Amino acid sequence: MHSSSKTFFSWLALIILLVLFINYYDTTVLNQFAIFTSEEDVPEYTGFVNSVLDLIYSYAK
Amino acid sequence: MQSEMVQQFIAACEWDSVRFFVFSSNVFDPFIYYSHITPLILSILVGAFVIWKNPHELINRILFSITALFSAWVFFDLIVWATDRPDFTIFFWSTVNLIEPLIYLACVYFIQVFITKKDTSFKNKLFLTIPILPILFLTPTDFSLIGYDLSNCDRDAIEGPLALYGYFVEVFYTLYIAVFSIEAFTKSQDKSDRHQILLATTGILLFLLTFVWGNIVGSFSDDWRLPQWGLFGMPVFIAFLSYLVVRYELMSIKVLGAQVLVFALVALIASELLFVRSTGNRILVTITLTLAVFFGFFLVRSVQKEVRQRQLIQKQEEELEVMNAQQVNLLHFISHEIKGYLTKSEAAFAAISEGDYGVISEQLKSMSTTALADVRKGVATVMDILDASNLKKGTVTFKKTAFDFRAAVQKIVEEQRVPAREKNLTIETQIAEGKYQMTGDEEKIREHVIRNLIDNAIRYTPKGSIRVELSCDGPSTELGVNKIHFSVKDSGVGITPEDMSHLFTEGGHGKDSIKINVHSTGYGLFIAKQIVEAFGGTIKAESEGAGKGSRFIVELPAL
Repeated sequence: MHSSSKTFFSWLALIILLVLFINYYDTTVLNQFAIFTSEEDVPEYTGFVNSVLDLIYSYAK
Repeated sequence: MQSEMVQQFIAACEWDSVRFFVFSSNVFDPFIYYSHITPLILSILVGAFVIWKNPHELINRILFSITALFSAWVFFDLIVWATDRPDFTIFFWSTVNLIEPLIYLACVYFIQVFITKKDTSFKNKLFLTIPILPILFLTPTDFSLIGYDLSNCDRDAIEGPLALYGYFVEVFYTLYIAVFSIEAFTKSQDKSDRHQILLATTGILLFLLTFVWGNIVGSFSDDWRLPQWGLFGMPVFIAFLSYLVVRYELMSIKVLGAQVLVFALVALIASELLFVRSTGNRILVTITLTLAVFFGFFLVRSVQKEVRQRQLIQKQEEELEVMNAQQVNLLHFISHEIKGYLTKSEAAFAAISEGDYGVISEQLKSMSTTALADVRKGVATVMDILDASNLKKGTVTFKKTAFDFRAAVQKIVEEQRVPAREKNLTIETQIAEGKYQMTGDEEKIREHVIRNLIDNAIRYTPKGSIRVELSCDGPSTELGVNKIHFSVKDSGVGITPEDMSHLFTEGGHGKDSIKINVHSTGYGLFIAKQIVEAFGGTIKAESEGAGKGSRFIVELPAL
């Protein structure tokens, strides 16, 4: 194992834990997320990639 | 805080509350538990086993990371299935979307280290991690999950573009593994390496492909039943790895096939408990599980015992081979040294007998002649041992010249008539007409085969006669090769079936032969067999038993 590997994976693990902590705090403590109670309000992502994939999926279906 | 209206909506949905994070009637299909908990248990056990066996090996650590990430993914996904809390759904769903590409990244790292058998460079790690960074930093944002859909009580989160990006990253990693492995496979010259690459890559690709396709289909169709099958990719991957570990002892783990099979059987039966609902079936599965554990334990123990014995025998065999080689060398050395001293004594006695040191008394002449004969017998004995040792070591060189086998037989028969007469034995010969020319080492065949067989017949025949027969095939034999048939038959002590089995082996004395011929080295027939076989011939003995005489038959290819 390279000596740099430990440093690399330690930093990666630290960032992941930090992200998870922020996400946990946002969602479960602050409840910072949108709740849609009617189907009309539910937004759809309409970016280019999604449109292409939707098209492929509709053909496949 | 959730608004009052949201709380009213949640209450209207009548979701079940959750026990131990994952158990609730919100998970409407028992198959979801089966598809999650079976791979989860297998994954945890394999990961723990691998890291327990050798925590310092890099490949073991990577495999442990894969199983740990996969177990976390499965557990969090099960929470998403079971929970009645929107905040938990959002948190664990986004966490699952973050862990998923990390599993793929760990798999890339695994296959690289597995194939190259060394750690990858820092640059390589950085290059492969870069595609994950957007997922990492955008997970706590709306790009990951837009929100929670409470409109139809489905407890669904609405995925943002980051989920799609994650699938692209996963496909990229899968293709990277395929290309990397194909390249390594085509470059490798070693058959075993190629086999290992093929199995490891097939296992890992089956796992990743079923995993990614299940999730992609689920994301687009909003039908999350199909992706449940994708989780069984992990047991498939574990099965491939187990085979590699058993066959090649990879990851510094010694595992028996029986252990893997018993473990898999017990795990599969145990996971049935999650699937069956009726009490009767649960009792039956529990009994089956208990019996599998009980018999599996004894089976593994018995196989382990057998393997240990086999390893011990193998080790002893290797040690014996070494000792045997040392013994041959020692024998060769001793014989060589003794031969030197005997040859000097032989020369000295010959010189005394022949009067090189002046006129000697009749008494001294008689003594020196007897001593010379004894020394010559000693030289012959030592030469036998030395020849046998050389033949065994493969250090004997044979001459290959054409000679007349019949002439060689006639010469030896004439010489052997003298000792035969001394024992009141007669030597009868029957030599058929034909061509007896053959290619071989005339001296060795004459002395070690012809003389040895006739000499043995005289030694082991107290009374009666010896018959020497010689014949050869006509020119049109089946294989187009003429054969010389030479046999020596006597009316002597015969050979017991017990002695017959080790007649031509090194030092292979007959049980009672030593009583008749105390000077027998037991190497004569061994040497004869080696020489006959060196020239493409065969030698065998026939006897009806003790006291019924014997017959030795030699077949050699003629020119």
